Amino acid sequence: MIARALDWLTLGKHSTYGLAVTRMILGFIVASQLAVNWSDRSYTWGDGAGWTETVRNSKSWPAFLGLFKQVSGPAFDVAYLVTIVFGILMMIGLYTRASTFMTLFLWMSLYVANPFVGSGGDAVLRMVMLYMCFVDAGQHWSVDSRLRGRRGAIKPLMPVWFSATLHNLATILIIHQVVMVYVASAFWKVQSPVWKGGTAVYYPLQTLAYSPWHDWLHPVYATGPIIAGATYTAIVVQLFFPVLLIYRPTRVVALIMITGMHLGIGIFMGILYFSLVMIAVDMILVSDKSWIRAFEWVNSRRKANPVDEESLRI
Amino acid sequence: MRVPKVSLRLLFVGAASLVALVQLAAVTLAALPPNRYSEAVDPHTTYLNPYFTQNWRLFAPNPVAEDRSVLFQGSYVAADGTTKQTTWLNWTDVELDLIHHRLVGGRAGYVTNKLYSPLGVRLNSLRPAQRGVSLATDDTKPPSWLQLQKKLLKANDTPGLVTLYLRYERATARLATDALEARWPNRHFTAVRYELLRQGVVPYASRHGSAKERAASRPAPRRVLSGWRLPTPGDADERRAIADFYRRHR
Repeated sequence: MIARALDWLTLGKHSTYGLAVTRMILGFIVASQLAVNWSDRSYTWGDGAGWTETVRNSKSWPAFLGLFKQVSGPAFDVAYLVTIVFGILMMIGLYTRASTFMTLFLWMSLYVANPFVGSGGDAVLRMVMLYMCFVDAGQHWSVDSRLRGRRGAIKPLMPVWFSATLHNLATILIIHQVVMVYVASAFWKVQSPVWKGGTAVYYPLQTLAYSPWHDWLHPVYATGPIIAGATYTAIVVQLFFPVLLIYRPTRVVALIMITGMHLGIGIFMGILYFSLVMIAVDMILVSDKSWIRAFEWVNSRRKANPVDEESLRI
Repeated sequence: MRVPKVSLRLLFVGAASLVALVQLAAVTLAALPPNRYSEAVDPHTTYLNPYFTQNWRLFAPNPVAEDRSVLFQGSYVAADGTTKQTTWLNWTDVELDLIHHRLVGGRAGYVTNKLYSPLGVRLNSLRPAQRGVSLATDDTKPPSWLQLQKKLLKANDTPGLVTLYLRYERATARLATDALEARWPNRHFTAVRYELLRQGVVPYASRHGSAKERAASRPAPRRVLSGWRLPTPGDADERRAIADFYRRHR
């Protein structure tokens, strides 16, 4: 058994397609989020966040993350744009490991610049991105893989067992982290009468902060069966998520339901980026075989429909 | 059973697996609701903070069920020489413009929403005598930060509490000053203060009423008022950034 575990850890890298998808979505999240917040960047993280100084200086983040606290004006804008660029590099998979590391460093430097902006999504993002620095997320669907295809693979500095072990252990830690997010929150939920009573989802949807469409969608939010369905689905899917992952059919159901739940939270509660982070990480749980099948299906559709291919070129 | 020979590969895999296992166990224990096992190992899982802090509630156990706002008011000397007070400026409302009817909300939409809780906690942590000191301030002559600190310590010698309280109080006074100057750029403020306002949402049982009935069914708002504080403006860049933000989202 030890020998089998050792072989599993050292002989090859697992979930490489899923990690490629996760890499693309996380890079997109960083780049697009900063682009979307461009007009309010100064109030959010720049000069306009200077009033938080007494609080942020008391936090125990290391000093090397102080870049965005030390720059202002055009220098801040340049650092902000560089962060977007690294997010894009991570997304497309150019110098994947280096760009992942730089995206993490710059994103964290930005994150600590205002202690009142962080969210649960940021917490998952930073943990997963740190683990991502140890995985080979650029093996597929990346510029790196295309370059490797053209010029051939460069002889690695370290033996395969070394990088494979780091890759596989980091993958396990990423999956474990996302499972713990669901299970821990489900444990809190089952202790609460509001969740057990099937009305919990109603309350945030009545607040100004977590209900951007409240005035338009009130009739939906006031419908008891919808609220009860959403509340109980959230508890069941989160609580049984690790169990549902064991068998392929239940895993498919779990991933569809959890993705639907996140899209619902993201769209109706206005926290789309938190949802995207969770969806990105969940993509690792789709097997490499499934990703390959999906890729082949998309390819066959494109080949079978040359008009579509033409339109793609345009 | 094939027993692998001890080699550099095996040593590395063993060490890396051990590190991963420790991290796995620590994350598990820190993430789950407090229990006897997580409490027993608590001193050994502190390394997780702040980078790996595990606090996954996702609206549990009690989902947010109230609107929370931070409002600012300024005191100023009017042209006739009398001291007047501005109307309340609801800064949370300004920020919520980034959330309302937006598929992708701006990150600045939740700043005072996230300031609300820790500020309230620090305020509530003051001893009764200190609370009295913090409120008994004059809007024509508010105390300097050093004077306020000395008075709070004189009321009750709890330096840790006072330091934490003043950290948040000072930050909020600075935001209040910048925000009020953005709203009323030509007024010379002599003092600023804030109010924490919370109001429960429409009760579940009242959800089918008309808009008027639903509004009437909401619990009465609860307010916590701060004392008057010395205006504490940020530097020119900070004030400009906050004024720009206000202009875009008022």
